[in-house]
Amino acid sequence: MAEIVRAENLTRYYPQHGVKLNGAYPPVKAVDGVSFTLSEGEVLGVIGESGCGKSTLGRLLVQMEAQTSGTLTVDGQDASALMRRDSRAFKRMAQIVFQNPFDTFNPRFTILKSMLRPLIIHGIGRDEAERTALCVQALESAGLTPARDFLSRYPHELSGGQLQRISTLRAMMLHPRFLVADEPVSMLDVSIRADVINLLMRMAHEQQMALVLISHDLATTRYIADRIAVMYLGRFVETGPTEEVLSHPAHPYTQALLSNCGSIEHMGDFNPISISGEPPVPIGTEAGCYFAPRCFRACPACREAYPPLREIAPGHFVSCLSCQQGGVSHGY
Amino acid sequence: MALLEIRDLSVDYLMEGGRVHAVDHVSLSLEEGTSLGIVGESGSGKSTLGMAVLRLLDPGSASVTGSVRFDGEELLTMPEARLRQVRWQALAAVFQKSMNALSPVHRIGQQMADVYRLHHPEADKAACRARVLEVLRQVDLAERVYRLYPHELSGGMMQRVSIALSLLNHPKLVIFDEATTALDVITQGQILKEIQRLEKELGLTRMMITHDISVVATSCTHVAVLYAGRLMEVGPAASVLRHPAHPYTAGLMAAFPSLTGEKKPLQGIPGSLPDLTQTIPGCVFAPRCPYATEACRSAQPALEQVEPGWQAACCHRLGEVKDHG
Repeated sequence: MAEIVRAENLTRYYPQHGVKLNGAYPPVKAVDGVSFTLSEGEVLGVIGESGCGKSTLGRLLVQMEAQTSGTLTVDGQDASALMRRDSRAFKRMAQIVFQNPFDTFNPRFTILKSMLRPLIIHGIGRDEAERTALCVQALESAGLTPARDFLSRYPHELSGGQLQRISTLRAMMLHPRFLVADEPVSMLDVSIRADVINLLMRMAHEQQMALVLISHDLATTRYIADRIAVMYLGRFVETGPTEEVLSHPAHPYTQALLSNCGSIEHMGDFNPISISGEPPVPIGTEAGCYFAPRCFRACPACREAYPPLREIAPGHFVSCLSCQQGGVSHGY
Repeated sequence: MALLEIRDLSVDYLMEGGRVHAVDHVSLSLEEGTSLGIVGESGSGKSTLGMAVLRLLDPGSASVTGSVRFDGEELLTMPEARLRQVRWQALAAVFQKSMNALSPVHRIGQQMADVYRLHHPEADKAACRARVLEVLRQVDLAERVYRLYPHELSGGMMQRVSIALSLLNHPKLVIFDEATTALDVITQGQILKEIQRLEKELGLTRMMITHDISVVATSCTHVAVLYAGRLMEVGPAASVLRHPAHPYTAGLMAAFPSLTGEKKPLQGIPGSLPDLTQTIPGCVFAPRCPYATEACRSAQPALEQVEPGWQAACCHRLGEVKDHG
């Protein structure tokens, strides 16, 4: 399978002037060295808690923000360079779907007008009739019928689930090579989430597009993603095939996350791993593993250098020392 | 006798030109020492139900009928003076936006002590302080929180303060309205575990209003499923969630991805919530129900027993429930 996305050591530091350390203001390290590759038709689920940098990473991946350092290659081209040279070409390749569909659409535009805009900007379709036909076709493919009726309505007349599906369809009409979906269903009621999730998966499959799903919901991510990346304080601490990571979590943070996650299977035997505190702010981070201060398996060596990612099973990478010293407990 | 006995509770929001039937003849009872999860999607009336029990709805904009008996006393007609004694003493609540629960310009401990003093006018300063520190300890917060301001705490710590506040006066029943919804996975897990521990230690009874079935599955003994203001199914959480008898409960479960179990295709429930300003003669779920027949649309199905302690309001109950045990 052809590689679509290659991220190498992506970082995004934000300057701040609130916290002074050793006479200087260290930056907020929102994304702090993220590397991964993604092939055609592959879905990567990025899991993390609020403040871990997952949404910033999403914005870097579609170049809504420029990275502080590192390189991003999409379909063989350097994303930053392409963005500077021909931003329209890049945006056609890389699209993003946001969490709140009510913020995504201009409330004064009809759905038709909102859907036509990207087609006009990117010169898809010869005239309005042809573009409208494309919109109708897209809506019908997602079961939003009668399509012409939807096109004439305004965002406030539709439900969140319907709008989120339209938001996804609008991004997909450009046939991007790569789509980022940032918490696409967390605003929606359970009974209508499935439609959005299934649509995303079908689109990724049909168009052989690479998909990055950003979410805090492990169960939903498990359903969609081929691979999972667990993010903590701006870094991937564990990546690997979804089932492998979820059934044999090796990083203490992943284990804590999984055991604390409410589940319809837990019934009666909910016994979460206790960890203290909440993620710190990534300012002036010290040497050593970022998770060490809260970790239940930390040893002195953990505080000396950030542990490198190493492969513990095919495709399953973990950045943790305590596992290296025989601390790995498969199936916590 | 049940600690909380809700009978035929209906809440209509009065609007210009109509009434929204937010809660429609709901009956529930809550035994002492149990925990009841009230599950529903947005617009199901779950929060309205909680507010009605607490009598926090403005009588000018909501009409509440039926009966809510708490510990043998009728709450809905109770005089204000008595209600003030019951609320926060015996019946406490924790809400979602805990950040808004306290004044931002006073120290947390001081505000908590004020609440305690209001209900215990005889207590002196030292006694108030001692009680506040005790409840802070119970929810795993450090003593220093007493001297902090709300903005100095994280969301998870603030939610713990809210829970501590609800425990101040040794309540019998605590109503949690989406109290863990805005929290991160780990924080939510830790707080759910703490709530369960406190429940055992203090002998609390709990009502947990949430949209998240997994929260109910992990932390409640019983569950009530609401849809469009009506009670669809109620019973022991393990039975109802494993082998739902009502098609709506089954639909919710089929739409919910599993974390460890078999990976089944997710199915949404087609359609959307009915217009609650209209009076719906039949089953409210019928327009979205795959099993609905003409009879469902004409007459409202009554709650019928599936097994002792487990009821569903549907004439097309699913499965040979007893076979699953």
